Amino acid sequence: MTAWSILVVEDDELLGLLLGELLVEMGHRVCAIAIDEAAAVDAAAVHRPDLMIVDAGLGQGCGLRAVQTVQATGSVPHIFTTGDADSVRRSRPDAIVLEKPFNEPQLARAIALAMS
Amino acid sequence: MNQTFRGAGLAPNASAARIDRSEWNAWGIGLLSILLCLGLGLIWLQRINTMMVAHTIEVDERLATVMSSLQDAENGARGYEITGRKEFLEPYRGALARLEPDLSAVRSDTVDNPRQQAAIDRVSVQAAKRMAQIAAAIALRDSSGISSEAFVELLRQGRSTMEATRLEIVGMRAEEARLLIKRQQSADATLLWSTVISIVGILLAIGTNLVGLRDQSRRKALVSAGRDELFAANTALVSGNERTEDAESQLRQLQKMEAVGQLTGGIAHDFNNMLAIIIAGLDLARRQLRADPDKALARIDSALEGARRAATLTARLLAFSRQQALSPVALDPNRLVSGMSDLLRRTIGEQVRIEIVLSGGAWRVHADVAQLENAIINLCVNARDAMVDGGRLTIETSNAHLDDSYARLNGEVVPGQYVLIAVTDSGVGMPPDVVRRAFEPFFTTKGAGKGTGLGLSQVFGFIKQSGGHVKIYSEPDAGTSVKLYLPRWLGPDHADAVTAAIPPPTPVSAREELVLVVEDDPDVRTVSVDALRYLGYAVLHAASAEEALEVMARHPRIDLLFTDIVMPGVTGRVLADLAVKAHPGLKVLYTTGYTRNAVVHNGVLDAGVDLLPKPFTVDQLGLKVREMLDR
Repeated sequence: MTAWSILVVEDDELLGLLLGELLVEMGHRVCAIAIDEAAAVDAAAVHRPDLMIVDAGLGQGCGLRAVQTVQATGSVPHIFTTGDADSVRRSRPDAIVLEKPFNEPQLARAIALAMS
Repeated sequence: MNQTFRGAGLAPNASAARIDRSEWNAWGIGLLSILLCLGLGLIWLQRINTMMVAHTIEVDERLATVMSSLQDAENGARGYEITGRKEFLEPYRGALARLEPDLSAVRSDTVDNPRQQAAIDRVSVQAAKRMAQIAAAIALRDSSGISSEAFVELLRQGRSTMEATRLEIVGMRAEEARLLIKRQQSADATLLWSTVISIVGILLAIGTNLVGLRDQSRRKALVSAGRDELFAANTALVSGNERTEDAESQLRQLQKMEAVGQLTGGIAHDFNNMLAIIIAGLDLARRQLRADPDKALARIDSALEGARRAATLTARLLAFSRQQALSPVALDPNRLVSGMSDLLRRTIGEQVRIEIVLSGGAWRVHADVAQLENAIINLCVNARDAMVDGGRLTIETSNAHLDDSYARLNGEVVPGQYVLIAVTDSGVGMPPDVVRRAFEPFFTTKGAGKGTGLGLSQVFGFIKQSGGHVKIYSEPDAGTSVKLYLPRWLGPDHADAVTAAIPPPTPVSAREELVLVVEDDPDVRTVSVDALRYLGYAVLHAASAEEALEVMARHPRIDLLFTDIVMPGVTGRVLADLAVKAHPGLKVLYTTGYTRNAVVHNGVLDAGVDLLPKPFTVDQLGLKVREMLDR
């Protein structure tokens, strides 16, 4: 299993922290945890992660916009986390969506899919 | 409702064409009349022509008669001259008798023709000469018999005279023949013209008639078409109204669904986050359990935090739906608010100036202490968030009456006595569409991460569940005042309040004093105007300061200006200053949805002005106005 450098974007700080710790437990590197769209774009530019795990519901769909902005400078594999998978799939039909709450196996599968 | 009136007969173009047709009709008839006149004229002309033709023929005949008379005279005379027999003189004598009348007749018949007149004079002369010659010849024969030379001479003279006369008469007859042809031609022409005109006239008459008939039937068709249109339009209007009502109720349904959608969306999002925290926390705890128990413990705490959050969320939602468990007690709102002042100043008070104004003699209420405190803190936090660069926060308590007209404007309110707890800020304020949605759960104008959008919905639910009423007064850039009304608690320890004295009747105006009401909210304006009129005042009204100034220019005799303070455009304060400058002695009564203390605290008004805070009862208004006018 390859260890990836992952950027976590999640506006709920506690959840972001836990997710980060889970990823570390799974053997990956967490370069940063960003809590809003602007911070996410900045962190992506600074750390150049291998993978982004982005909360779609970052206050009115900014998660999707954040990814869009980052993609403008170069394609980065990404996973969307959300409580409402359907609405995300409707606007991004071919994105990898992880529905909250998710467990570790589900997360591992999503990561493998994103990095394949 | 907007219904467009459609129909060919009633469109503007068609009516213009209709006008043209009746113009056609009028023109047709006019033309016909003209033709008729022409025709009559031609008929007269023809009559004249005919007369003239007859005339010409008569003259010609008379001339012929003259000629033959002369011939007869000659023949008779010659016969006598040859035979000497007297019977030959008969034709001579007859001719002589006929000649003069015939010549006169011709003369009078040709009186219009100078040539013929001259000619007939010459004929007369010649005829007279001939007759004289004949008479001379007869006399000669009688006297001396016929001598050859004299006779031959007379014969010779006679022949030349006769020739001359004959020539004249031929000339005259030729002239008459010429005239005859001319007159015949004229008569023919007239006949032709009258025939043409008659035909044209007939065609025109037929045509106009047809047009008229068609127009008539067209008009009839239009009228009945119009009637059908009207009927159809009416039916359409009625069914349109029904459809509109359907559409409106459908819209309301959709709005409800949208609100529910927003609610469930918000719930799903928050709960999912909390569940994710719980699961992630426990997952991690399990991993760390044997290797690092302390770390595992920390994860379990995180999970618990998530669970706790979820529980809070449920509680808030229940609060909104007015189904939370409440433990109401009788409490003194003044005591409660003053007890919170430290907490409030700590939580809110870095950049914000807090003023707490408690009215003496405030009634008691019956409510859950923790929830009420929660509500007040909630409002104060919102107020602070609205004042990004600091400002003033005013918390007040007072007794209040919510009367029938207020209840009418605000559904679900039971008229009666309430205690008001108001939280007012000097912040950015809210536009009307935000005010309308302010109590919706998960509706928030704050940025992401700042608040759940549940605060006001909780306050709303709690107050409602406690039998009270919440009202927001706000205008953009004029701050916000949130008023909590809780019903007055008449518990067993306030028996005196039950038997209130019957209040004195509201004083009225007996002198037709003139009041100008200035208020931008149409509902409130109507209530104030109606109340004052009911109390006997003459009332003018305006929806803005600008309008009010116009009204005052037209009616300088105003006794009292009753104006809202905060209005879009020019404020009531500025209006009052202008008005008093133009009419010194004018009395000014202010009103506002914000509280007196907030208004004074924020420097909007000076402390000594007359202010009647909203909502006011008709009695309160009447008392205040009367008191001011009696000063």
